[in-house]
Amino acid sequence: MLSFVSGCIRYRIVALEAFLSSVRRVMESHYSTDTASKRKFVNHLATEWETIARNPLGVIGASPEPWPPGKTNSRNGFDLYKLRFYMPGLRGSARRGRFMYLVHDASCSVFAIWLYTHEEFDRRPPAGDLRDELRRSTEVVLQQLRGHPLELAVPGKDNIVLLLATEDQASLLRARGLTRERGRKKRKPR
Amino acid sequence: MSSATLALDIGLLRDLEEPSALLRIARDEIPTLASRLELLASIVEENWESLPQPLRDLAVAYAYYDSERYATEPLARLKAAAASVRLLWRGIAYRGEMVRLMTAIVRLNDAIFTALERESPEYREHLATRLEGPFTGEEMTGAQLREWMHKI
Repeated sequence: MLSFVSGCIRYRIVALEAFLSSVRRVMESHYSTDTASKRKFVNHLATEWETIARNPLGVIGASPEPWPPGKTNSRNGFDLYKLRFYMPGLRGSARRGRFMYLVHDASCSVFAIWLYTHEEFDRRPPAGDLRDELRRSTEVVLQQLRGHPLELAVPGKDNIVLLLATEDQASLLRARGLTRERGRKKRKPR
Repeated sequence: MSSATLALDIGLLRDLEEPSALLRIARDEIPTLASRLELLASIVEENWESLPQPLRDLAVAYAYYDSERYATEPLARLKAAAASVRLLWRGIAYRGEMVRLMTAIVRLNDAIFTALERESPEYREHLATRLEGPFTGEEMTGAQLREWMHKI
């Protein structure tokens, strides 16, 4: 989790009209009949709101979000953040709530811009039974890995490669001490 | 500089969806598995587009199955509840290791859902519209937000 020291003791939070509209839409879609869950959601969001006001860059569950179309989350002194949390009383992809906000450190301000659930961008596989789909897609990948284990570079760790493998291949590496050393070998102690 | 290749049995993604699978992992294997899953999560977070399509399909099925199974399978809920009790006990006994493993699993799931959102043209369009500004609105405290939401 990234956290920066800031000169702001407390941030003011400005709710943009687009944010308030998105909150209204989420509540009308999901909590129009379930008052108990609605109360939990309201309290949860209000609590997160206060946490953000104290330290918007260090909220547990929040991380920098790329400012499209680029990869960085900063532009003109504004930092974009996405907070992930569970929506009370909801299931499936609607359970995954997101709260997006901008931090403007120079003015000790936070701008709440959007609240939504993952359901709005659902990419659920069309298969009726996801357990079958999970087994099928695992078999497809394992079949490909049997011939050629897949080496993946790990971002920010130039000296580590993650090898996606079958159980047998992984066991073989484990038997060799979990890692396969490459490059310069360590000198044996005298 | 030497480099290391760390192996992850990809079949574990399928097995991890059963809570009972977490009970079968030996204690000394838990930190190893957690670190592999953390590495996989960081790859998904940074390089989702470069992953082969079959692997992305597997990741998506994995993440959605985790989200939905309790809603669709009553028996799975019972099994999960029983496994949870045993997991809780294991969590107490192996507190540090289990917390790290569960955190890694949650991080991987979040990374997959986040990658899917970023891939969506609708998501990018919605976000771009909101980032156009101007950033003017109503200043609120948590208490004021709570009061406003209760009126909806």
